[in-house]
Amino acid sequence: MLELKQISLAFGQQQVLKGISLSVATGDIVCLLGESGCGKTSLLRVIAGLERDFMGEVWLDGALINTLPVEKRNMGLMFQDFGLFPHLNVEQNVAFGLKMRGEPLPVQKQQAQQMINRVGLESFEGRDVSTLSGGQKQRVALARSLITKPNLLMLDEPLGSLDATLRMRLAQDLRHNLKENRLTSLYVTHDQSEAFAIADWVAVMKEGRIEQIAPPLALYRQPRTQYVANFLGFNNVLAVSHWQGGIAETAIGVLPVAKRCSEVCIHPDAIAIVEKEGVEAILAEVVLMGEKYRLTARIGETLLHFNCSSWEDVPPIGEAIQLAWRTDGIISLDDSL
Amino acid sequence: MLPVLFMGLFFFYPLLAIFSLSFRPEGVWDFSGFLRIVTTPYYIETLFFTLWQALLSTALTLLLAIPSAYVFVRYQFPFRRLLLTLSSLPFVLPTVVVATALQALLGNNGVVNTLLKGFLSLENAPIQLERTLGFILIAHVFYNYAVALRMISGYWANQSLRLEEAAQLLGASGWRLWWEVRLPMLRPAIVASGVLVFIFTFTSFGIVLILGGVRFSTLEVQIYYQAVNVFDLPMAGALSLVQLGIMAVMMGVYTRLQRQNSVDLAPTRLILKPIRRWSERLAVLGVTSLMSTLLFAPLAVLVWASLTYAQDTPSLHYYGLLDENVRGSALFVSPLMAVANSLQFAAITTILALILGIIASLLIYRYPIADVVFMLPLATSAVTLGFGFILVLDTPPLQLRSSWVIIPIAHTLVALPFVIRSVLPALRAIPHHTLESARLLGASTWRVRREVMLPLIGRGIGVGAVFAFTVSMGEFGASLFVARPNTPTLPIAIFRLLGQPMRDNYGQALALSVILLLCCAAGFLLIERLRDVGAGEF
Repeated sequence: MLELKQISLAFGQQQVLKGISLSVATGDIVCLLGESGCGKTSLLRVIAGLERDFMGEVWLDGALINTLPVEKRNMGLMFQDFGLFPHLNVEQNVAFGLKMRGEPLPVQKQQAQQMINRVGLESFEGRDVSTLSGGQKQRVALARSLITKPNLLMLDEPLGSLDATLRMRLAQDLRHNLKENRLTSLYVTHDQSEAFAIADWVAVMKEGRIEQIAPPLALYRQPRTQYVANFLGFNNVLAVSHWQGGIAETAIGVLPVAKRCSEVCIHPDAIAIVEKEGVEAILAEVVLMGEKYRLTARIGETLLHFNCSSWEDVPPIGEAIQLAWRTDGIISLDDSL
Repeated sequence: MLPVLFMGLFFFYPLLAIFSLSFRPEGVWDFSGFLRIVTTPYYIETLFFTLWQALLSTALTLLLAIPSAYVFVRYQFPFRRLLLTLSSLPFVLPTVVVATALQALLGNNGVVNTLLKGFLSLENAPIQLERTLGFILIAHVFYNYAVALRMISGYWANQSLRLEEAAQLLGASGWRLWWEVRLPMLRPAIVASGVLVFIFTFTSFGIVLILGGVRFSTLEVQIYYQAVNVFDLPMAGALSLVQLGIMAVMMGVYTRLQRQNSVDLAPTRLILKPIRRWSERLAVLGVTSLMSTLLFAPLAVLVWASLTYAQDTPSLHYYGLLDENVRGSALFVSPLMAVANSLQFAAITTILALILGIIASLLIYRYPIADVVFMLPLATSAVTLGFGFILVLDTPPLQLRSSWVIIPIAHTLVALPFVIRSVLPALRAIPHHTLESARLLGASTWRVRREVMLPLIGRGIGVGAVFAFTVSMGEFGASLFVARPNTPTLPIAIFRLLGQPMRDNYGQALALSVILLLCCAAGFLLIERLRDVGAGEF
């Protein structure tokens, strides 16, 4: 169990982390999701003990570890560039943590071999690490981190340097591996699909703060602020001009919104074209996005984006259509912190 | 802390002694030494000559290096890489070897003159270069040609050819292409290499002392004369300070220039053209023959002269003389003893410089500001260093004047920047995450150093070790001050033998020079093999 209380960090004048509190239950995978420069990597470095001049408290399994030296924390941290030792082969890299603990050589060798097999690198033990592919390096780094059975494993964009198709497959492998080892993990990425594939909880970060933390599905369906909605690619944000008794007035008419708010978002997955009794709209644009179509419709001056996946559903551009939306797809947005 | 202590004791303390000697010779403030410098025409002339020869050497070097750089950057020709690599050989050659080699080639009794005399049946040598400014200039070009060539061609290789092609499309051609595009583009590299060559030639000591004779003296030689021959120590001190001041300014200019236009060391792919036209053929032929003549003629003649005796018949006579003390007054020991001395000193220097250099590199890695402190000996001339040594090491608490230890200590100071410059880049090239990973896996700071850093800088340490050894073998300026008469080093022995009238003494000097040349050439080859392409920060 990892617990962060009011972590703040500054590099000179620049405030990188602004009072972050977060707890990660044992065995959970929490993903820190955000644009580059939002402080997600700095947060990992604070937890690992690599940044010393921070404010706040880091608790691990009930003990305050602010001043515990890096090497005594038994935490794993996988860097984006993996940080493999170029002068050691695969087996020596994997066994490094055991060697530091003073385990006898046969134990080192046997456990390293086991771990190498477990990440699927059988017969690679004698290889020079510079001859490995990106995916193989990533697995060596994982094996090296896992062998000491760390209290907490942190992964900093471990799939960042790989191509997109390999990334999704490896993200699922990685989740499987972490769960199998019952590891408490913190995973940093800027890629939302990677985050959704791997995490139990996703924390969206913005400028040194956590904007929202929720399980993947809840985050995807209920973004709490405009920033999170936009980050996930949901752009149907409408200003609320008046709200009373669960009804909000917007540019496209009244919408049922349970909570008083100044902005609402209509989830793109909640909008559909209907035959009748919908809202009048003009189809303005159709963009093919790989597996689905992204449609844009105009209602008065307002543009609404929505998805559809079946091809009969796509009318010609410029045609008048009728739109309807699920009421649970209308999300009231809070202001950003 | 060990290297800091060493620097304080053997670098800053002697420098401080020079300061106090020139400003407060009798314990009270006294600026008469400086007044004498600026009021005595002789010293003004010395200062003027020092500047003049440095400027001439720099101009001549650049004049040869710029066209050569062009040929090396643009054309593909046989032995291109080999020539470029070998061109750096002078960098490790001791001044006494170069001076001896040039004398063997161009001196009054040198090979060229002997051939011309026989050919034209003349009485006197037709080329009278000994003790002329020309001789000094040739030696300086020999030393610095490759420095300028490497810096300029390295910079050029990183410039896009597109710029020139664009200029050609806009109508520039011939000399206008040189004048309006190429030279302005190269200006940063030309200025930086010019400043560096100026620094090297301004502090030139061995070359001027041996080839210039008494007629020519630079500041550096004057410091030596004043301290050793005239024994006017306050004067020597004042001259040292003038020298230090000028050097400080030049080094400041150089570091500024380096910072402004640091060349990206990532090697860009060079597109080399094959030679087609006769003018291109002529240019390549001209440059390669200039280089090989400049580089190999003196060294080849040196080896040949050492292997011949009486009517120029091949003989090992001079080598046979090496364990004999031909004239008791020249050396107190046999020449072979000087070789043994130098090898011992070099071994001790290597160990000392490695220990201090590795610790200092770790220190600089952590606190980059410390770099300035350890690079200072590079900017301080060896003669000034030697002079400071005899000032302070003669009196308690450092009574080392009569101990042989003083030589490896002086050599270590000179070699330290080379070791640091070899180790530090290797240290800095280690990805930060590699070291942090080791700590996360449970390695303490010390174990990170032992298990990760040390193996990764092994190659750099190797290069540093060879540098330290070669520098120590060839060091001349400081050794001349601190070496005891009964423990001469190899370069000192050569210098003393050159000053003797007997032909056998000259022969011994030739043979010793060849031995020293072989040592340094072997070191050079080792360094080139150990060093990665593009590594090293100079």
